[in-house]
Amino acid sequence: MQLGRYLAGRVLLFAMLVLTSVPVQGQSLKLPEGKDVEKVRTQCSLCHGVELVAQQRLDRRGWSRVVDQMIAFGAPVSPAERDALLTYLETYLGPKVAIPEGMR
Amino acid sequence: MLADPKAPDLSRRSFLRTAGRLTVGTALLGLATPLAQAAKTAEEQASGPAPVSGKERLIVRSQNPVNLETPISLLSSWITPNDAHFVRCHHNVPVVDRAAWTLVVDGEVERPLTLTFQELKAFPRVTAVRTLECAGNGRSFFTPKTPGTQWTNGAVSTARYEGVRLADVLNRAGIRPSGKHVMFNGADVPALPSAPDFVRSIPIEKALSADTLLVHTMNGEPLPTMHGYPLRVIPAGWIGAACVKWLVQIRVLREAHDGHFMVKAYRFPQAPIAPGAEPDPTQMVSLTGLEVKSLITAPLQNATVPASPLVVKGVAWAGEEEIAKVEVSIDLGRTWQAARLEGERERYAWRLWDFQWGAPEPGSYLVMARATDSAGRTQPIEQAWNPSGYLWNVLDRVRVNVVKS
Repeated sequence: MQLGRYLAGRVLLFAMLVLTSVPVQGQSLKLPEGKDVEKVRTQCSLCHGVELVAQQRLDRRGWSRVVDQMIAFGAPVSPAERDALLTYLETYLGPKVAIPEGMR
Repeated sequence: MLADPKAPDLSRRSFLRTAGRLTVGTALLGLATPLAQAAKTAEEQASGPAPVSGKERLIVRSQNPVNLETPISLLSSWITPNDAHFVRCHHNVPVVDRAAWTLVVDGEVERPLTLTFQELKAFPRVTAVRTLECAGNGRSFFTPKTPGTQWTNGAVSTARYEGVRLADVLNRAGIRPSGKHVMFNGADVPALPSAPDFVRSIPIEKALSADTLLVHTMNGEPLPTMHGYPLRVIPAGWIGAACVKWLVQIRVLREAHDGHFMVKAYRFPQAPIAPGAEPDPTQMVSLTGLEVKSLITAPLQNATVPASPLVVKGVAWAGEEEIAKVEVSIDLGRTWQAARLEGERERYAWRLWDFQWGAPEPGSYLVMARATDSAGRTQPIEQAWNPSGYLWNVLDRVRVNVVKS
């Protein structure tokens, strides 16, 4: 029953992912284009929408805390990939990057 | 999930990874449609994410997990309608079959229980109005920025709930003297089995308070799916994260639960720290009751109004305390005038307030509101920065442009 419950949860989760897989539109919630954006998209969407990523503004230290937390949660990120993710995140979603209208 | 959240089961985990992929096909067959997004028109696609079905008027902060913010214009009534109540989820939104659902009560109890919905409903019925606010409401205002859903002001709402007292259920199970905390687990599960499940606990004193409820009805309707159908706990006046949804298990513990959402998340530095500083994790305390806070709901930010008498309106709440007064300033905080507390009143529910602003001269004004509660707490002019951006309660301010009438 435990397993059944878990599977039911998984079914719904994947249903959500599939049914909502039309890319999130609107500049405020899109990942900016840039080197390794696909790596970010692939890794982060394993568990949550990239809109959650796109609304953050953190420096490298802040981002590394977040990414390391996700690795601790089980995100399959290699050390080299971690570096690529952090470089993308601090470059395109760093503290100095403007926050688009509609997100403030 | 019902499993002991601390007990890893590697074989099950790897099985689920495979099973997860297989379920995509099942999902495509339309097993789970309630959460489907409405079809998007080209116009919607250009302007932003599609609204979530049943919550079309809310701002979508994220679709997965579902995090929806209420626009301030919808917070002007004492009771927030269900379709306007904010939503905060940590994982998926489980759709529970109430006929098959049971609530397990176990741990440090004399008689573990497994209650059906009918059995649960048979406990003495209680009705109560409760204001719920996400601990991260206002996170987007912090400098430096902190990670998490970037809420502005609208992760707060008020509803009339019906349900039963948690104490009545716990007393039927019989709490052993060793039982000091009560843990709540919902039917939601993390996306990866290796990620922490959303599980929270509260001290036994709060659990046994007559005001801590297990609710099944919200504004006269069965608890909506996104709000925890069929059962949610509401420890009155505490942060939203204490109000665990889709309850399937209540476990009495000897100590506070030691999962991620207790020992890492929803914690606040005991002593004030510099903005951006990294606090010593041993000096962080678990968040409990909400802060004192007010919001101006009219006029709205950057409104243009004619130079004639005007009513400033808002809401104010204070967690476990009661609102003692709300004051308004229209001269940048030099002077403050009392607003009128009005409308219905119930402990743990926000108060509506209004303020008569006599015909201002044309110009641009900053209207500010500041609430004070029965414990003497008042809204600050600057925020105590904290690494996760919790408990923002700086006095509220809206820019109002007054033009010749």
